[in-house]
Amino acid sequence: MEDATCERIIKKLDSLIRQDPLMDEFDIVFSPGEVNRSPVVSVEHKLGLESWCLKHVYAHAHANILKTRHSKRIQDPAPMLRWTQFCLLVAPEVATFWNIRKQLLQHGSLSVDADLHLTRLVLSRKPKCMEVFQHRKWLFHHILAPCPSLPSPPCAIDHHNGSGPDEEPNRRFLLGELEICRWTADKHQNNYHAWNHRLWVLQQLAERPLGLAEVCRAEYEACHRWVRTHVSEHSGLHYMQHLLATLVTLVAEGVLLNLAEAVPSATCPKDLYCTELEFNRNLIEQYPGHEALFCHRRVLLQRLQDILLHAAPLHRTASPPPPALKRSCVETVNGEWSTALLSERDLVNKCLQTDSYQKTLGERHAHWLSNVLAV
Amino acid sequence: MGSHPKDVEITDEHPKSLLLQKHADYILSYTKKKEDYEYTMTEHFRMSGMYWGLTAMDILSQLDKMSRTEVVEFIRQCQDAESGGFSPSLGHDPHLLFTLSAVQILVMLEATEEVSVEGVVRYVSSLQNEDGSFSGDKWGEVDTRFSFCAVACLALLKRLESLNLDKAVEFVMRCQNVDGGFGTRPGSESHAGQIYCCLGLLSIAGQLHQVNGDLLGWWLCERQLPSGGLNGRPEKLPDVCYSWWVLASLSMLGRLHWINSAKMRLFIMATQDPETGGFTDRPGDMVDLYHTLFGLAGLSLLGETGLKEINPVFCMPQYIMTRLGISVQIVSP
Repeated sequence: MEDATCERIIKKLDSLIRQDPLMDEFDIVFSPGEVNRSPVVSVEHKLGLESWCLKHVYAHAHANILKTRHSKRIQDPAPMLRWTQFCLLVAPEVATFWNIRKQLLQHGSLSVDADLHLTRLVLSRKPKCMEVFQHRKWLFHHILAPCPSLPSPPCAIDHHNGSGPDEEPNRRFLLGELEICRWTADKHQNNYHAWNHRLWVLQQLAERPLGLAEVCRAEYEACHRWVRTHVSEHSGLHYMQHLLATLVTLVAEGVLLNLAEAVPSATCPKDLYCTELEFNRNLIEQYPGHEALFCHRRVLLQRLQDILLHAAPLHRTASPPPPALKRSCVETVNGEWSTALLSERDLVNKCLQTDSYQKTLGERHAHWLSNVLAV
Repeated sequence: MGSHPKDVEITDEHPKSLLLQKHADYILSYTKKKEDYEYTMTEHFRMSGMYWGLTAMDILSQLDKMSRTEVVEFIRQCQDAESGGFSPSLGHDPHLLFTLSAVQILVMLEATEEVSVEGVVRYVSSLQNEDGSFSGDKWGEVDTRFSFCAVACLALLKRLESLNLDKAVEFVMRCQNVDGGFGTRPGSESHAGQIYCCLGLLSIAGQLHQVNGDLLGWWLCERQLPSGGLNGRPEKLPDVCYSWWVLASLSMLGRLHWINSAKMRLFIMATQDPETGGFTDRPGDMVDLYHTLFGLAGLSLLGETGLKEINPVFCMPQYIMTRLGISVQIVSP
């Protein structure tokens, strides 16, 4: 294929993306051979590239990127942007090509919006592409919300209270990012990178107290809805664990006034974890045979154990309670823990009565209870 | 007991024994194809690809069939003069992932003097952050995989004193979860690949006692499915690469015997392609170099005859580690 034809295809793709900010999907469409029409197709905000042209056009764009890079002077960034865009739509794992775009972003030769759009298109085709999530994270930290002293999140809370005039766009970006995470998690099962990205977004939001209670409540509800329909996905459950721990920490640090701001039904961490254990048990009984649900249950139990048995001194008042009261406290607490463990025994027994995979999971749960919780 | 819902079936059709020569031929033929589209499409991880191929050939005792001169020349060209790091291939950017692959190959071929070792040390130590973590390259992404790459690199070059090992350990320990496993960053989900990296780092640092071996060992063993294959996270399909990440982790923890090794072996054998040679992720899929190395490395850990012994931390033949006098910490069973 001639260079001119390759360039024509690359430019066509570029102009279609530029002209339609609502373009939201890209894919490679299989086609057996060369036909006398453009391989670039666009229908109702969906963009397609016919497979027959791939090898030629990719080789052309790839060779030009490396050649131009080697000469170390990019006078007109436009062709470089088009070539890298083409190659990244086809092969988004090539970190070097994202790096070239980062350089151009830093020099002001490329707009953030263009790369937010490109990464979104790539995710529609490859929803678990790690390099894309990394690029979006970089865009946030270095272009959208550059922070003078990047790491050390704890002191960041003191420095900005999330209410500055420049904060609103950042907050909007982060909320939009939650939506990207939801969408990519739906597109690909057990999407580690999507959930890991969501975890990062939550960490960013947690540093911005303005509107944080609403965000937490929405995330808690969204997570519950998601888990209910994705019982086999440990990544979503792990995120839920992180969310619960974050809520408890935010209340302990005074960033959130109380737990009920985020979870109306819970007044204290113990309530929260008891509610979650019940929710999880219902799922285990309703959808038998899911290891992910049992793994999640273990974490919930360990957290509850910490709250009931180890963190209890936190609630003590300044002067130590009289011995009698102390003993009764311990008994109450231990009583609650014993009730929780009785319920585990009951669950295990129910599992052992089945002859499906649920039985194996029940046996493992019993093993874990005796080995880790020393029951 | 009911069958596992997310598993594969091993039948009599699948290979049962090691097709040793087929694999060597597959790797050799792979290095000869240089002009096609696939070759261009894999250049962004070529350095690691070379490490996979060369290590596999060494385990198969056929390293002499590979061109040492060609390999060393390629690696020399991939060292970035400015930063000192290695790129996956010419024209690409340096990264810790490929710097480790390059160093592993150079050590294997006794060719470290062909590159600037000072450059490597400078590059690796420049990427350590204040909290002990490592960025993969100058763009700043942090991941426990990069911590392992950095520490393994300098351990192989015997220059560990050039980074803050205590801080590196401290960061890795912050990435440990309630289930005993490790993720990419503090708070991230446990993942068998990341667990291997974190344990590897702790082993090099002599800090494995910081890990609850029973808790983590149990989690790792639960990755084994009825087919014998291992997955990397709960309710995922088995994949032969986890026969390395999980088995190596269990080896470091001194609990390799916790796994059903006879079934594990059968699963790995079934991922061989008897026509093309090489291993796939699961029986019946397409072979590649990555799964070929990790299939062979897993079998070597299980003591397969005809394969050289492999070191569970560096994923390199043990005789090389012995030659260098590098020892790692292994919890005694």
